[in-house]
Amino acid sequence: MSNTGMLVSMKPTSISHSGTSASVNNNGGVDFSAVTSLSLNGVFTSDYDNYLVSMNHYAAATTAVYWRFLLSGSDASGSDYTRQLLRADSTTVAGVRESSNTSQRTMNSDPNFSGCVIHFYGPALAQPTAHRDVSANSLNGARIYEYAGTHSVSTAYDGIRFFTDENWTGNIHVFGYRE
Amino acid sequence: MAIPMGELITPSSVAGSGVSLSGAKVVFTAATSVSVNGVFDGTHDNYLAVCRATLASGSSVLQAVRLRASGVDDTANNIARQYLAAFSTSVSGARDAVTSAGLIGNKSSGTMSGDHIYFYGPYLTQPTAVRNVNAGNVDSASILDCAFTHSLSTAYDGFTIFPVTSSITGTMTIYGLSQ
Repeated sequence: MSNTGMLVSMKPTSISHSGTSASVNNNGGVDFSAVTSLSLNGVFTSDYDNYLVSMNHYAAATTAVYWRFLLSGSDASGSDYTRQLLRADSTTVAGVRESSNTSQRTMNSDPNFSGCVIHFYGPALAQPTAHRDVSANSLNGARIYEYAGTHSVSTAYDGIRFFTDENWTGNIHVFGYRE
Repeated sequence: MAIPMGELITPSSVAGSGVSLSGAKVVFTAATSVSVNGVFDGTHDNYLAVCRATLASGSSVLQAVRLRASGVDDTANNIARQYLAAFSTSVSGARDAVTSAGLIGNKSSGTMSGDHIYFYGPYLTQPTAVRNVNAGNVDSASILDCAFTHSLSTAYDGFTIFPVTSSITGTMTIYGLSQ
């Protein structure tokens, strides 16, 4: 793909998964099928401050989708993640804050197709990191299920691992914002 | 054919104490306001600014934005704004029909926060719309999104962001979005 524009494809230096299959495609994205864990290594670098993760997916049954930062393939699993949910589900609009978590969440996955982008602010900087989801979630037909969150540790991370309770299928592509 | 979805833009100049340019990236340290000039022109209709920042001191401090032309902020009451906020279980919205600045989230000292600010037609001689998508850090995670419109049919070539109190440290990059 062209690297002359706003976004730069961050092709993983390596990936690993638990489940049926995962592979890096010719565009630098990752296609995965029936996985319960998917690690993308080397997607956050010192070249860029901010990143966009574009993802679309479905699952064998409704499941939460969690993620953690990675450093050299190891999870950042301390109780350092805080998140704020903003949910619009039919006429119900609600929020929840969850503090001191050992992982972060993005929208649930279910047997229908969903998509979201996650904006990451400074994951490869030795500073705390912020992120924000913008989602189109298929659960109950259609809903908005978005998180903003922070990770409080001043460590430069180079990857991200997603994990679920159900077999999970889709595509994830990480982009750096050119600067 | 690969079509870049956006173009990195280098401000013609920046203004504010502690504000500088590193290539195209706007870097600010303990800045009470961050102004960029010459980022909007006739090349693009719409623009995106990606900003991450920490607040020096305080809690839940609003951050604001104003359009500017030829190095001068528009401080008149030409803005109508609507916000959507999620703080823990409290989800709320409000409209300010006549005001002098748009909102781009709010911040507390401590962890990182991030914002995507979309400008729709700032350089066109017609009213401008702006939308902010916020990854806030009030109580470690929060959301305060804002949409606002600016009523004047003036071509603006820049903008200023500022915390209502205290100062901010961080970076910002600006992109013209492909038409």
